Amino acid sequence: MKIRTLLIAWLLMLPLAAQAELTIKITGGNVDAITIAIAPFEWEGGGTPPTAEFDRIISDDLQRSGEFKPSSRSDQPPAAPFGQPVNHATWRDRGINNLVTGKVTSVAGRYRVEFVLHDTAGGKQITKDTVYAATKDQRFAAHHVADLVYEALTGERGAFATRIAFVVANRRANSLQVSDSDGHGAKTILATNDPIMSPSWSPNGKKLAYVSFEGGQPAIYVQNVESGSRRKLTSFKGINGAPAWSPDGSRLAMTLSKDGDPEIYVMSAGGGGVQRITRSPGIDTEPSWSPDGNSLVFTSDRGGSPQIYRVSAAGGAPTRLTFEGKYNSNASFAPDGKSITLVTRTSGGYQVALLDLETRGMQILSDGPLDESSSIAPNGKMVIYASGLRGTLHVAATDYDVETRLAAQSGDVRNPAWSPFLIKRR
Amino acid sequence: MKRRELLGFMGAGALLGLAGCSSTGGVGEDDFMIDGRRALDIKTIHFDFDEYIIKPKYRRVLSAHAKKLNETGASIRIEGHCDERGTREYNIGLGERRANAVRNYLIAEGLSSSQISTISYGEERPVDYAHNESAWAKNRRAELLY
Repeated sequence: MKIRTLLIAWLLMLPLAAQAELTIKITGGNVDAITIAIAPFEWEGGGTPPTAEFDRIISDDLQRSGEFKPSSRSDQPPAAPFGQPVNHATWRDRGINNLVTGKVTSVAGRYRVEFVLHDTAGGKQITKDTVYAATKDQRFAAHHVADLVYEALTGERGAFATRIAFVVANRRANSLQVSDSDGHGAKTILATNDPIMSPSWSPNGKKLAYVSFEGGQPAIYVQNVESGSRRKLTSFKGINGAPAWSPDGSRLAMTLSKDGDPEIYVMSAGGGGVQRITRSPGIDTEPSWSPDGNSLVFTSDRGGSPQIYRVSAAGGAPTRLTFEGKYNSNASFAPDGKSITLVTRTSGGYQVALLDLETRGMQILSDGPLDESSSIAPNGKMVIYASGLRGTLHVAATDYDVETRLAAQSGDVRNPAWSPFLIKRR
Repeated sequence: MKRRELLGFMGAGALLGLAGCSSTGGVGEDDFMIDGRRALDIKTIHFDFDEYIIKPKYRRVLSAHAKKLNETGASIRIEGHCDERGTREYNIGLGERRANAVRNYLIAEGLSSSQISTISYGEERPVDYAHNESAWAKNRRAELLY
């Protein structure tokens, strides 16, 4: 295994935040959405003020989940100074049942972000908390506050303080980038004129496995996101594709065609121990692990058209999971293991859907016609996917008809992968 | 691509190509005109949607290349490509089938497997970036590089 440090290291990367613009598109909405206002966070001088607009970041995060209806700044009454009593009625009278106020101070070169969540309808304080962040992580601190507010009001863990990896193509110039879960603050971790595909996060959120065609041959690489160092995991003859980490991080599933045609294999994350899982003359690809690590779902056209199958991670006879439609592929498990996201072909083209493995009900999440590469948030409440038609990334709420287009990068953006939780639960 | 029916089909395709050659007497394979172009000038083979069968009009093209490669012993790289429809990794599999279909044809025409390398780029390297049938038809292809 060759270890090579990339010329382009994480810390040298320039953020692309300046060209990013968040567009909210609500297709149906949620009539029961929780009303909330995030007042602009105060800055208490001394040091360099933060560039992040905390209230907007938190507001956009909550909106994207489909479970909240945040008020814009212009719809908010003036907020009392942070720490002073809040006049709940002035918010309640505007139909705003919850309020977040906050203050940012500089402490020993770091930002201290304090916030209070008020129940303006009930006239009481729900919770208050403080998070700390280095200057470069100020946006992440805002996402962390959004997570804490989300959990306090829904009872579910928030997944905003996470990252997404994706590929940006400008014709032949390709880059693998990592950004916040809202698409902002993107950094390039690999740039090449050869195709890059299929990023997959290690379960600890520190590494990415991906496919790169550098040198004119596909190979699977494993790269440390922070340091940029990487090694080549596989470069067998033929296809080296679709890497997927096992939930315990010890192994990767992948597609290799070294034995004649594309089959699913599992190997040690350290390299070696290659074990063949599938045996069929058709295309077997796109493996994804069940959360318990005991089985894999994958795409196979052994039945005449691409469909989703499930097989034990130790191998054996697969069982077919999808029967509706002539094209179902690219499945991945929801964190609870009870459903899978996939791409299905309907009269509306290729659309992202959520298949309930118990009821077999299929819920279409995207509009089509060329959507692909779905990846589910670690709390199971949002799905990110790429629109092949527009070259953009979109987030759809799994429980509500709410879809958001993420910050646009310049170029064709594709292949999103949602990281695991990155912040330890308190 | 080890399926017997595919190899059987390729064998038949090769025979058709040879029959065409013998029926034209002294005219070489590379003198055939396909769509107004000399066979040897055609280095891209196109496929139907979700298909990897070599269309009859391309058999003579491949036979002409096989004849030349048999004479020179040169190596050839075959790239398989897809249109953008469907998922990316599935299309890597489909592109490999297309490259292998061309490879198997050339082997049936006498090339040594050691002369041939293949790669699938799936939908990653389109020649036309538009999202319509005309672009998709151009992008579903195998390229002969030598």
